Amino acid sequence: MALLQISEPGMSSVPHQHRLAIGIDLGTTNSLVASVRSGKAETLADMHGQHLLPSVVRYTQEQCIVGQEAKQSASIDPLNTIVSVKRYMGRSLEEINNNSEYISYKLYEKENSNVPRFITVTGDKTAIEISSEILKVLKQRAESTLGGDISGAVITVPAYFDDAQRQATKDAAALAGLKVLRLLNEPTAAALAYGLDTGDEGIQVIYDLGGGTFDVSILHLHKGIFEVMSTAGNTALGGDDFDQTIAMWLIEQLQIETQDAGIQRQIMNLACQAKQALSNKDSTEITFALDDKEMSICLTKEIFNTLISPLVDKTLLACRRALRDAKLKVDDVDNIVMVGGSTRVPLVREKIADFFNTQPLVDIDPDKVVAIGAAQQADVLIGNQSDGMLLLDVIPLSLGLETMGGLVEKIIPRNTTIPVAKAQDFTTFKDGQTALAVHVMQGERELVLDCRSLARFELRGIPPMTAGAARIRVTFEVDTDGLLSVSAQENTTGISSCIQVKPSYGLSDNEIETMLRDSMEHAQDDIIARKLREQQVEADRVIEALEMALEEDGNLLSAKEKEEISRVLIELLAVKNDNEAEPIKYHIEKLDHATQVFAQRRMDKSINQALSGHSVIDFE
Amino acid sequence: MDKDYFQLFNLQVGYAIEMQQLKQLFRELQKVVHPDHFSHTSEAQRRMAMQKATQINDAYQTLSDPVKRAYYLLSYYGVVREGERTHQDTQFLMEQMELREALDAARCAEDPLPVLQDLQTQVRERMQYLMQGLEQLFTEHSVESLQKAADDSDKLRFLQRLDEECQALEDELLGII
Repeated sequence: MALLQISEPGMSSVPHQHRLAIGIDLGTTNSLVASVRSGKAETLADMHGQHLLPSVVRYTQEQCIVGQEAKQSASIDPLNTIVSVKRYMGRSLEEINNNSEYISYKLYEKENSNVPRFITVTGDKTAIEISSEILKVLKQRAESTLGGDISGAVITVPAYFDDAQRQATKDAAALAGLKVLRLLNEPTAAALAYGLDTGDEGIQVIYDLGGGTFDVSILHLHKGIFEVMSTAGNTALGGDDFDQTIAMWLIEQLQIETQDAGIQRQIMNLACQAKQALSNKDSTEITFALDDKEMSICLTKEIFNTLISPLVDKTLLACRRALRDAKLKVDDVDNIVMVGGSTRVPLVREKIADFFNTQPLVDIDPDKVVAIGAAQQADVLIGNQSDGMLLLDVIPLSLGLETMGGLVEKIIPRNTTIPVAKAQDFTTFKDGQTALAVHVMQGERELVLDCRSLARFELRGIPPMTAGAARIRVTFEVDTDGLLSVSAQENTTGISSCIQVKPSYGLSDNEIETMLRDSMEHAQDDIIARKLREQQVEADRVIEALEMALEEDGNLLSAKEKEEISRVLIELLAVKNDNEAEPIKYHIEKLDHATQVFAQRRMDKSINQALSGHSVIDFE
Repeated sequence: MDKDYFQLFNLQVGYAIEMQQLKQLFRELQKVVHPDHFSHTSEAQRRMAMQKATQINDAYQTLSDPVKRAYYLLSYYGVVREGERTHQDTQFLMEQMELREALDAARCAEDPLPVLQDLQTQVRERMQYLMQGLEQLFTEHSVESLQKAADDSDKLRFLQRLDEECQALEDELLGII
């Protein structure tokens, strides 16, 4: 039979091939990369043995420097050294200017593009490009440590990141040449790392206080399923804000003039050092040097606690909301896991222990736990683990549309499990109206003004009817990355309009493409070679998956159906090693089409198995 | 071709639902259809997994919510409703007004939280009562009982919204953003 031929060695890829996949924690302050090696997830060190890469990028005339060296030059070259770039991801210039917490970089918006750009000595840089420099360094580190090409990466984002911030992160990965397997929420990654490590089940609260963001997620762990029940947080609250309050206190106490960006950076550094010192001391001496003058002041733990107490209380309110959204009480919680460097602050631990009435877990290094969880998920998604666990995540913020009177109609409420699709019908409000403006919003408040505007588009060509006669169905779809796409259709005529939501201040696909080209030295050749390789890898993947499927469930097909599939498969094998991407792509699609019925039957089979595995008696 | 939500979970059609069972079936199903298990397969399969997982999420959310479940059953039995019917039921109209006033009163009370909690308990008790009634009405599913079920579903929806407003007010009072 034809099927036997195609399984012969040499004809197809090696079955169960191990692929290299990495998890990246792209943090506000530090970034890490981790991978599963010999069944164990661990973070990867640079050649000096350092695991943490400071998320600092410095542009000089000659080169772009990332990490520790860049961090050290932050106060001598403040305008060309970008610190905490994550805070700028997916943000508009207006939002940045309205927020005093941002350090004063020189930013502007180019004509016809609403993405803020940093003015540096080597030209304008967007937050996306700057982040991609950090990702490139981590990718290189992984390639040299693991010894091979990286097939895919899971990149973590704060659970509370909105659509614009997620899209920006994904764009940065694309610029760095990484295939994103998934954007994973940071607290979910941490829960994964803990859950897989300890085997604990039940209700877990993940309290994640990083450099610039705060998230709290509540998960239910049961038999390998990690189900997120609720999430809450604040994308502009973190350890940087602790530094900020200390800095303000210093400026006030020592009467420092703070016009100069270098001095600002210096004070922030002193504040951060003082904060870290107070993690295991009761007081610390801060010395500020300017020109020849030196000034000293003592910061006690007591003063520090008073300074940051309101900030920590803010996080407790978010914990309360997360509990309520999950319909749980404090007593229902089995474990609290602390994540993020800022949870080293003693007051944070005390207040959390007090609130949940139990001691939080700090067994895994809070700096590394997110990257470790991301690496585990990457290993599952790339297909290296077959029995894998399952993550069910949620959307952090409600999604809706602007309706009459500047109000927001929620289409998908927050904490809805993804993937999700929801449709809602709207109608025209004027006689003869032929177009409808669709304004997509994200947020919890009722007024458009208080929510975040994600995108606007228009559905045109609606035939003139009396007001209220048209039926316009708007569909929201959120994929497993938490990214939204919206489509609209007029039902009586079938006129449709569809967009992948790209926030008004995000980069367009064209801009990304151009940047990608620019970043490649021999652009044209590289792109062609890359496309060919991509298609070949994809072909191998599809063939391997199909062979496994046939081995397992070949009996779901008739002899004739099998023959048809193997005919198309042989066609693909014939073109696979040629030097052209297009024919490979064409035959992959053809095979895809030929196996659709087979795939459907396999899924029905596994659904029936899942359902029949349970009689009513199995349930408590 | 598409299964209805009850078939999807292999459950008997009806308003009464064993939540634990539904939850467990939901997890079992996601275990086999979730797109994460198909990330290394072909695009068509990934798309199919995505659709299936979306459908199961939707079915689960519909069946696990008392109001959505009621409306789903009404459409399942083909009960046609003309938009949002205003209630002829004067008694319920009075009740709505009273409850709204009670919410406003809670907002202005000197110590609003306990007043609010009382109101919420009251609202939830009424919801429970309506839900018990709906179980019977849907079991019967005669023309008359379904009409009554439709009316009661509207009432239940009003109460659910009021309950959400109570929550929102509590958030506001506690300073939860």
